[in-house]
Amino acid sequence: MKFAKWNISLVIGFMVLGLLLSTSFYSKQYFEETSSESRKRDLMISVKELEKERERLKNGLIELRSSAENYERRAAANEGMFSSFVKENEELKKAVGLTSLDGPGVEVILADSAQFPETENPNNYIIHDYDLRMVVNALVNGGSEAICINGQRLVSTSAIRCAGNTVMVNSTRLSSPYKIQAIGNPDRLLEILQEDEGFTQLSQGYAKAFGLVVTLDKLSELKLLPYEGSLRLEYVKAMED
Amino acid sequence: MLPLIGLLMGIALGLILKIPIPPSYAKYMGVAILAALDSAFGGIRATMEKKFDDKLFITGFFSNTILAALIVYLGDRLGVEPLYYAAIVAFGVRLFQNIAAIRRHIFKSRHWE
Repeated sequence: MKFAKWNISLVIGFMVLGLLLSTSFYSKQYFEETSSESRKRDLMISVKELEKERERLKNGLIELRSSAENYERRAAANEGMFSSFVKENEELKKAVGLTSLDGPGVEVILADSAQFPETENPNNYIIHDYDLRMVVNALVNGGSEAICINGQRLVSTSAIRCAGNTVMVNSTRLSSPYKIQAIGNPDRLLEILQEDEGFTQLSQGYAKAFGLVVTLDKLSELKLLPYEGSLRLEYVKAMED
Repeated sequence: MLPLIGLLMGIALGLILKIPIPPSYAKYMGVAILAALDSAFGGIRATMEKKFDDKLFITGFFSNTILAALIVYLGDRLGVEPLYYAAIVAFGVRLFQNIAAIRRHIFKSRHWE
């Protein structure tokens, strides 16, 4: 039996077979990856880029606001006539949430559980958007004058909503632990939270059962950051009386 | 030994060229590969039986491969799905027959030596 005399055409045939095999193999890998993984990666990248873009725009807004303030102050100094407007403007800004504020209040910290059993429903072990809304509603109910969640000031257009495994506030992604700071009468706020059915259920029931972190503190001095997003209103018009 | 080198060269060439075949054509590719495998083993068998004809092999190789894919494609266009199975079964059976013949031939030749 002689193996030595192989025909060149057989070699060519095998080469084509190899080419077919590796091409098929490569295409399978290629399309499996593009269908799920790389699409996910692309989306992640675009999210990150958009967040960067928003950060840049936000900085621009802060700059513009501070220069507008400078003009206002100069106007106030020059002409006495404007001073009352400027004063009113300052008051309104404080109420709307465009200034840094300090004052007494309460601080609520909510954090995901450190446990993460695979067999049970993982939703039980994390803080949700509705938990935050429940606390915020209770605080507003208790007469809170300004509220911040992880540095995001709540204003008239703020929303607290679920976004995957994070929570969006003022279109900014926040993640656990969530620090909710509210300025108001500390005793009143503490009382209203302790009386709130939802909060008691969370801090007594769920926190103990699933290991969620819920703390409630009275503070005599809280510093809240201003709202940094846009407040441009497109549809509303003031009604004339 | 030489066909093995050819095979490796082909694989390397495919990995270098990196031609992504869309998943919708994967079916035709699969049948073409089956036909090529059949022809390749048929070639080895013919060599062992000392009746290898290069013209017959080359034409058989390419016409089988292309025809197999074409038949399946035609079946899809005409809504005759069984053509796919016909190609798979036909080439599959031949492939195993060829491998069996090669195996038998190896043992037989060993015995005679």
